[in-house]
Amino acid sequence: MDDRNVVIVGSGFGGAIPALRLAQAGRSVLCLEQGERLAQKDFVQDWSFKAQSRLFVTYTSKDYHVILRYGRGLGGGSLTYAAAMLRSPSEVFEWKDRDGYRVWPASITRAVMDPFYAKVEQEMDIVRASWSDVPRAGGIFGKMMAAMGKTADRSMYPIHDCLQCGFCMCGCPFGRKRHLGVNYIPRAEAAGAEFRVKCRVHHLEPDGTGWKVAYFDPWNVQRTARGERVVLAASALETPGILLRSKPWMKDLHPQVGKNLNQNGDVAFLWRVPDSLAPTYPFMGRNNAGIITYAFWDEHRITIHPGAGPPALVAAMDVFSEKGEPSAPMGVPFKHYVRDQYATHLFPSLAIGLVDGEGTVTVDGDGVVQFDLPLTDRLRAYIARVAGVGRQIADANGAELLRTGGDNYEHGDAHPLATCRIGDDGERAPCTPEGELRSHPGVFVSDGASVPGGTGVNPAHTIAANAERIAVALAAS
Amino acid sequence: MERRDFLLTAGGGALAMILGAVGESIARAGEAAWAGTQFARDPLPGACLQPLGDVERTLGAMLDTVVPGPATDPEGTAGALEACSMNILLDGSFPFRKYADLFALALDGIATDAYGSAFADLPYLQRLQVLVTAQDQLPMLRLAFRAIRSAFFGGAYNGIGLRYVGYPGPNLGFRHLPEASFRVAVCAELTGNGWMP
Repeated sequence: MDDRNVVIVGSGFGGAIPALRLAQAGRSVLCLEQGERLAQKDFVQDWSFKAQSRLFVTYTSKDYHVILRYGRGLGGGSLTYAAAMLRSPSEVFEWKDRDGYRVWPASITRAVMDPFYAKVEQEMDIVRASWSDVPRAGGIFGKMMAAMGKTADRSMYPIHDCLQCGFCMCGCPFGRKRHLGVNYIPRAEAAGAEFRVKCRVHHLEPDGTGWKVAYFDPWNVQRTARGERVVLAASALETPGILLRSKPWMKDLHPQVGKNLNQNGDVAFLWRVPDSLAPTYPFMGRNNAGIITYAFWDEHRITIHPGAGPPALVAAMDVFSEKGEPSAPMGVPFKHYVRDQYATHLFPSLAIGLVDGEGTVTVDGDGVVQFDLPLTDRLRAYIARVAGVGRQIADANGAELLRTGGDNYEHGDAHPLATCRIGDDGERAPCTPEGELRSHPGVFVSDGASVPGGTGVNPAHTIAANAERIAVALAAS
Repeated sequence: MERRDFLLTAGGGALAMILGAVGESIARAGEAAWAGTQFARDPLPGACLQPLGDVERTLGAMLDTVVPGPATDPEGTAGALEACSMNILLDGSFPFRKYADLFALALDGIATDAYGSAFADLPYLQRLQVLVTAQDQLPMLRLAFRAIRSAFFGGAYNGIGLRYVGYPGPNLGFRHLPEASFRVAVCAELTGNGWMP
């Protein structure tokens, strides 16, 4: 049995960052990753299901309405995310839920987070997009905002010399996106951390002063690694899944593990622009289209950013028009609509905002993770508010807001959070502000599961900065 | 100039600019990529799983309703069946295989109740109505419809759908295309560094 100071589960932002910091602090570190170690040649321009299944794990909600995709492979979501790295606005850290509970610990503010954000920016070489980096769809969105007298800001990315091929989410085939596999992970390995791939963790067991991590190796043989500390960073779905599968060995597991699943207020739309703004060419350029508007933040606590849209994703949305065709995402009219509009008049966007986390992660009788994201009245009201903002933008520009699903809610999503959240209230939050599981000391959570609520923007940077912050506590523990 | 022609022509122009640095062998591969043949694979003989029994016949009619092909589309262009999207339903490596019989049973049941005929024997508009009804009763169907559309328009098995929407597929980047970016500030910015305080 491997015996280390720290065993880390998962090698995305939540895992790779503590791996580096703990190895630098002289700890023996073993990181277990479920996916493969992918090389540059593995990132190909291919949206086919077979190619995608190598890069992503996909989960479908119990009611089949929401699809969540997670990057798989050494480096986790950093391999295939669209790479926007934005600091969350100050108000995010002061957000209170429907019960008036401040979801972030009082000790954590934007000012406290800023040094950790800065560390991530330095390690990943995050830079602001130039106006030449903003793809056409992003530029059109900027023009739409300008026509309303509103602002939009160029975003930040660990992307350099982008060729604008439009395949960020297949993993950048040209190596221009600096994922964790080219910064944190090799630096952690150089500092002595070991990363073991194709290892699927099943559960944890207490073992004296430490923890045993039971996992299946690449040959599906059950093995055990022991750590004085265990860091769970397997995703907002699999982290609680591991803990819930560990219940037979972890008596009195905190009852909030798996609760509060928050989809980051994501609402996807398509815009249909007038001829004066066409063509959109949504397949060109970075998949997060270079720009974001904060113009609605003060009033609505939402941000909106345009995206690039490969046809496989755009056509998969349950798109329908409030003004006529397409009235349903099938049949002859829809087929002709996609042909006539896709390349020239459509581009997608994503609104992100602050909502309560009302979803749940469970495991079934076989230990397989399931999730539920109910369309509650509160969420329905939020979606209606976001759609109202969208219509306002559309009307001001002679454009049309195309809804995705009857409640704008039936779409793929990539930003689940808060299923094992940190917080001040021991009854509401399974983890301490330092990320340690209250019911089981020595077990830490450092991925999106620990981020206690919506981030107002794409969450990767806040997940990463929070992992940097938790790594400090881990190194001191 | 037709949109599709523009894309291919413009792509070729950009390619020529890029190729100066990457050599002739890559140029040949690149030209193929711009034409879409690398990604937009034409179907190999037998690549499309074909409807055989009653279940597959019902599923085939379902595919031809979600993304209609020559038998249904008045313009006669290829649809989901020609794009091999049946593979998603019948290939055991995807989750729909175990539901395929249930899908067919549900569609035939609704069709018989509403129109007194098996789903595959209904005219297109009635089939469409059955699908709208069925997806409300069987949410998994809605997921299957999304997968069928994605397979067609995204070129999961061949390039028919990609060519249909004028998407050039794999490429060496659009960086040098004048149309790829406005390249100048198009709006005022709120922040100095890209994020809110």
